[in-house]
Amino acid sequence: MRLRLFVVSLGLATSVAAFVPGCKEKPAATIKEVNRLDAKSGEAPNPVEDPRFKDFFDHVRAYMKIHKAADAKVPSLKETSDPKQVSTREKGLADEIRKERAGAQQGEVFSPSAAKEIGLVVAEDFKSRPLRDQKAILVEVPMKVPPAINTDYPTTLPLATVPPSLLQKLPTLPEELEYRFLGRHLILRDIRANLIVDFIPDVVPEGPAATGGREAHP
Amino acid sequence: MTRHAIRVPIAAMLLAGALSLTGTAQKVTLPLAKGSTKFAVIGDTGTGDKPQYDIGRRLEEYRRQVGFTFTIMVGDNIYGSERPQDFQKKFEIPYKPLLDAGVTFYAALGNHDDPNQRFYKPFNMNGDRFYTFTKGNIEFFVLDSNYMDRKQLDWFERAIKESKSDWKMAYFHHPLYSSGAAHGSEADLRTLLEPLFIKYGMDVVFAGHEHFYERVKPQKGIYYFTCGGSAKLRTGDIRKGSELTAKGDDRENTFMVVEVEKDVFSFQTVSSGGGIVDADSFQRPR
Repeated sequence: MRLRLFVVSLGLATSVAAFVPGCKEKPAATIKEVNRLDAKSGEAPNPVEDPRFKDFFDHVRAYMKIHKAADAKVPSLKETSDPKQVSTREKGLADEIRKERAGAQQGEVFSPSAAKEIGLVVAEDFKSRPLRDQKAILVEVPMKVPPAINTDYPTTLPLATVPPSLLQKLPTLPEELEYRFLGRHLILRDIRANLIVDFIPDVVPEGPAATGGREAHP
Repeated sequence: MTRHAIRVPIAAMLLAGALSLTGTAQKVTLPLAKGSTKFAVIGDTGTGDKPQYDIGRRLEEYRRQVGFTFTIMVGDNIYGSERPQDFQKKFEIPYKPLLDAGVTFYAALGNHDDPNQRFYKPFNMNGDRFYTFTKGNIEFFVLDSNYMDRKQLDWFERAIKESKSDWKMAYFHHPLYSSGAAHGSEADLRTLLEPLFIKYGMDVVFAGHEHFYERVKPQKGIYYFTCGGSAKLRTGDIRKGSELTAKGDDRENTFMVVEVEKDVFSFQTVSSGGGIVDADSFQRPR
C-alpha cells in the first residue's frame, strides 16, 4: 500500500512540476528510489496485511538485521573495474553471515506455517499451467545439487528464472533476497553474499520435475 | 567517364588501402548518417572460447568503418566461474580493441550471470540489476528478465511512462517471442511486459538466451530481435516454418550493428565469417 501511495504521489508531483513555469524537469524515477522504498517494505513486506506470512516476514526482518550487521563489517560495495574486489567482498559478506548464523537450520526463515502457505502458492501456480509449461519452468533448474543452509549457491550453475507471474504471488522480499528453484526446492538466496539462507524442500510437484523439458512454441 | 565517377573509385581505393593497413574492409549497408546514433548488439558472449574472440575481431573491423560508440549486451556475459581471470578471458581480452577505442558496454543480466556483475564497472550498470540510459534520441530500458518481481515492474512502468525520448528500446535476456526449439518464447514474461510495451510505445526489443539470430515479424507494432549467438551457437535450433521468423540464422555466430537517424532504424547482422546475415531499415510509426 505504501509503495502504491508513493508511486501515485511521485507521479502527481512529476505532473505538477512539468506544468509549473521555471520548474526544472524532474528526472525519471531511479532504481535507488525504489530500493529506498524497498528498504522500508523490507521492514514490512507486502502483503503485510496477509497473516499467512506474518512469521515469515518477522524471520526475514531478523535475517536482514544479521545481513546488515555483517554488511557493516566488510568494505562497502562500489562499482569497480577490478572483479577481484567484487568477489572478495561477496565472500567476505558470506563469511560474516555464516559466522552470525552458525548452526542455522532449515526452516528458521521459512517457518513451517510459512513453508506450508508458500508451498500452496507454488503448487497452485504449477497446477494452473499445462504440463508442458510446468516442465518449461524447470528446464534450466539445476536438479542434482541439494541445497544446504549457509552454503554458496554454486557459482558455475545457472540461476534458473522464477516465473514472473509466480513471483507476483509470493511475499515480497527486501532487495537483498530472492527466491530461486534448486532442484524441487525453493531456496531463499542472499544475492550480495550468494548464500543459501533457507529452503522449502520439495515444493515443486514431482511430475514435471521428473521429466523436465520445455514448450518451444510461443 | 565523368570527373565525379572517377572520384568515387579513387576514394574507395584510398579507403580500402587505409583499411588494409588496419583490418579488413567489410560491406556496410548502414547509411552512416552524420549525427546518427550507432551501436552494436551482442549476446550470450562470455565463453572465453574462439568464437567469442572471432566475433570480437569482427566487431572491431566494423567499429572502424561504422564508428559505433557503444555496445549493448543481452546477457550471459560470463559463463561458468566468475573469478577475476574469467572477466579477463571472457570479456576484457576478446573486446580489448573496442575497450581501447573507448567503446562503452551496457550489460543486461542473463541466467548464467551472478547479479553482482552489476558492480563491475566496465558493464556500466551503476550497481543496478535494471536501469536506463539515453543515447541521442533513444532511451534504453535494461531489464533483468531472470527475476521480474513487482519492484522491477513498478520501476519499469514509472520509467517508461516518464520517458521523453523519441525511441524506446528495451533489452533483456529472455526473448518474449522466439522460434527456438530448445527454449522458445517466454510467454509468462510476455504476459507482464507486453501490455506495458504497447501502452507506453516501446519500439524495439533485443534479447538473447537463444544461441542464434532471429528477427521476429513485428508483433503488435514492436520489433523483436534475438541476438544470442555472439559466442555460443545452437545449430539448427530455429524451428523451420515458424510463423514468427522474419529472418533467422542458426548456422553461424552473429552480432548486430544498428544505426538510428531521426525516425529511421537501420540494422545489419553480421556473421563471424563476415557475411551479412540480415540487413534492413524501418521508420518509426508515429
